[in-house]
Amino acid sequence: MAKSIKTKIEVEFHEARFEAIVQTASDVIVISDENSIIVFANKKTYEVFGYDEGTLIGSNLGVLMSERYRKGHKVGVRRFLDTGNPKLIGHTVEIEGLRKDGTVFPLELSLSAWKEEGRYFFSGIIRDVTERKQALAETEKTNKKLQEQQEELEAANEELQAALEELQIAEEQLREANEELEHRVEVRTRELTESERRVKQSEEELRLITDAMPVLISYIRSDGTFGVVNKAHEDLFQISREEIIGKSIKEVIGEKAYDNSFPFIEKALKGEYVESEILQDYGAKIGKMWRRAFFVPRREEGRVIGIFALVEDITVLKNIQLEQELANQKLREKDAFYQALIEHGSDIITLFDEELNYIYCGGSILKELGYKPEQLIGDNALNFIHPEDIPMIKEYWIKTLSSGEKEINVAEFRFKNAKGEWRWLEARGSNQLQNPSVRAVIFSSRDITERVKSKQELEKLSLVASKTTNGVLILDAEGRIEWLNEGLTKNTGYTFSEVVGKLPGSFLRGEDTDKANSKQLEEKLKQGKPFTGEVLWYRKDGEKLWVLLDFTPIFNEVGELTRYIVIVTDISERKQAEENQLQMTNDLFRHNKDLQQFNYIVSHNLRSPVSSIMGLADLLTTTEDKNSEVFNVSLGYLKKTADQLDTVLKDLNQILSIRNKKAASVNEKVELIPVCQQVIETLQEPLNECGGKVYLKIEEGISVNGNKAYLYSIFYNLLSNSIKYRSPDRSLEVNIKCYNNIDSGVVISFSDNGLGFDMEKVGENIFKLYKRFHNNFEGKGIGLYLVKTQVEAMDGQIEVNSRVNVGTTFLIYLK
Amino acid sequence: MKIFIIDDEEVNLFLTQRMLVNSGLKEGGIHPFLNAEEALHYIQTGSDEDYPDVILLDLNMPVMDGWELPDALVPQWERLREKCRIYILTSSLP
Repeated sequence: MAKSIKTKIEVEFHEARFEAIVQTASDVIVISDENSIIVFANKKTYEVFGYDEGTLIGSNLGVLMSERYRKGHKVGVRRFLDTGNPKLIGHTVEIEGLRKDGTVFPLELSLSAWKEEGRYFFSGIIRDVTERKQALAETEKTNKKLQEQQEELEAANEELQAALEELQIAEEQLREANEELEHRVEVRTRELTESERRVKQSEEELRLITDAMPVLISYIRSDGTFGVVNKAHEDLFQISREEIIGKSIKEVIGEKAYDNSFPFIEKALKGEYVESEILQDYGAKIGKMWRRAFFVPRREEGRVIGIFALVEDITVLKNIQLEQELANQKLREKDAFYQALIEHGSDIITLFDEELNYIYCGGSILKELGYKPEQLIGDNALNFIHPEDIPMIKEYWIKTLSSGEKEINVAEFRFKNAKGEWRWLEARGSNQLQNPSVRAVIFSSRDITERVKSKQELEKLSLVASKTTNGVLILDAEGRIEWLNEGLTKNTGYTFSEVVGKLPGSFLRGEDTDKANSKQLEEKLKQGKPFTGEVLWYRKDGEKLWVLLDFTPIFNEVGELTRYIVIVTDISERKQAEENQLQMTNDLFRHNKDLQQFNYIVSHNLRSPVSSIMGLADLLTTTEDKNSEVFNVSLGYLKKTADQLDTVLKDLNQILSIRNKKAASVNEKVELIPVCQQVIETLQEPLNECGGKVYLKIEEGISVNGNKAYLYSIFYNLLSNSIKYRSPDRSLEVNIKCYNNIDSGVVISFSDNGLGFDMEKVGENIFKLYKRFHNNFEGKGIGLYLVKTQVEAMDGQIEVNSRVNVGTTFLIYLK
Repeated sequence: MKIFIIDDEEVNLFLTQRMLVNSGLKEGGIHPFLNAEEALHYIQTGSDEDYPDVILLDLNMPVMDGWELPDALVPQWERLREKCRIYILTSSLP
């Protein structure tokens, strides 16, 4: 029993394994019975023959093969069954398969047969050989093609062979002809070499001669290239002769030089003999030199085929020539210059003899004094000099006559012009009586009337100005300081010599001087009209000086602007008063705005609880059921709101008291440590409740000038805020530090690790009255307003810095 | 009728609520909020049915004030405007 089960399992196992192998086989496996009915076909069968799986069972095997094999198959099967002669069994044959879609394909079949329960079964293992067949056919086709090509090649090869043979014959003939030619050439060459040698010899001699000459000798072909050149070319252009020959002139001598000599070369090429003398420019490397060139055309059969050129360096010669010319020219110019100077210059040149009689007079005297030279020559100079000045001139004359040739003596005197007016002249005399080429006293005089008058005028003005208490400044027409009075030197701190000749703006203006205003003053100055302006000056010691400038232009007789008189008034005090007033206005404006804000907020915060109270009272009176919940709640709110109103009123009292005291703030020395400790004690209970800790880091004995009550209030408000707005996530820590800072006095830093707030959103609003920044807190919005008011009442400043969920730090600066 | 009252003052919230009830509105339709964020959250997370018909809005409130709430409601506004009106209820203006 047990064995039979085991066997069955084995059989089933074998069958299962067989099935798996057969089904997954890559070959087609078909099993048919004696009547050629298909009893098994594996998956591959259906895949290869294109049938739906399972449909072939029961069909005749003939459907899988092409028409022409069917009959043979039938006959074969019958014969095997009748005779037991297995013609094909155990062999592999190639036949044609037929797919369901009717296509025929080659396949390889191996047949086997076995007997089971008295019946024969045939199994066929079939392989689709379509691809193999195709590949075979392809190879055959390729082979055939190759064969054809080979045949063609062979034919071509034969032709080539024939041609090659012909070529060999031709080559032989050519070689013979060549030998003949070579022989003839040899003979001819021998003849030529002899004549060449002779030519070469004479050429060499010629070359030796030309090379020894320090001039450029060349033969230029008609196409503008060098045919022959001598050694001088190599030296000049620093390239070998071989390189020059064949090159164009332009390339060798440079573009500029070529352009210079082109007209001459062109002329020579037309058949003319050309001689030229030019300043040749060989470019940056060689430079310029004077050249004399001869171009001789060379003809052949009446045609010019080239030019012989001979170029000589005449730079040294030319330079000497030019220098001479230049010297001559200069001499002529100098003469003309002196002549012009004497005749047309504004200085009057006159020559006197020992008695002060005119010997010569320059032409400019006509323009300057209205006399023609001939009117004066022979006359005595004293006839024209102001009687008051004659004694002085006589003395001067004696001095001049006794001085040497090199000395120059100056005199200022009045001289009558042709119109009879007196003109001031400045004369510079030089005694040249001993000079053989002059033999006279030479005078050079100029009209200085304007200068003298101007000087006299300035003296007069200065005399007046020095007496006034105001600052007085005298500027020339360009705005430079000519003079300033004592009042101004005192007020500015600058001395006369420090500032004379300078523009006032260049040293009196400073950092805060309005630039636009200064520019305006300068513009007005140019217009030559009287004007006034205010400007900020700086004294020499750097102190500011506000001045009012009153400009008066001064003109001469012909209407030209000569100078400005500037009256300088010190207006510093007035300016200071103006500035103070402006500051006061600004302060008042700010206070006014503060008050407006205060009033607005206060009225809102008073109105709000009052209107609530009115609403609640209304509600209470209209509620009939006095025991209802609404009634009770309303009553509770009424009480709460009344308390709130009371608190607001108290707050207001406190704020107003600080505001009022601000002017007369109580000033006492307050030690910070006791105040802080007092506040911490007061708030100990809520601190304990939330587990908060306060760390004090205050320098021993540090104190501020202020009001103790305010300082208490400040610390109280800050600390109670820290407790109120602590973070629920961590226990509260407060750090209070106080220290002295040299620049800003006492600094109090108060920081906690609480909720903090968004600085960007809240910013300076943090200190505003009735502003609150957290939901669900019993904040009144007054604490920080009070802190700020109290800090400011003590002339201090407060700053805040905060980060959400990190903490808040207040910095308080006190004196 | 759904009415939101937004005011940080508890008393005001109570008073407004009573006044509306006394004038005949149903108590269940009145939603008091002590700050604008809660009301905003209610609208943002609710469906169209949760949208109020009227918002009575105080201006001066901590954290988010009455001016900021309509700005925060812009994404909902297309649908909200169909039925909702906002009234400002404040003593802030002089």
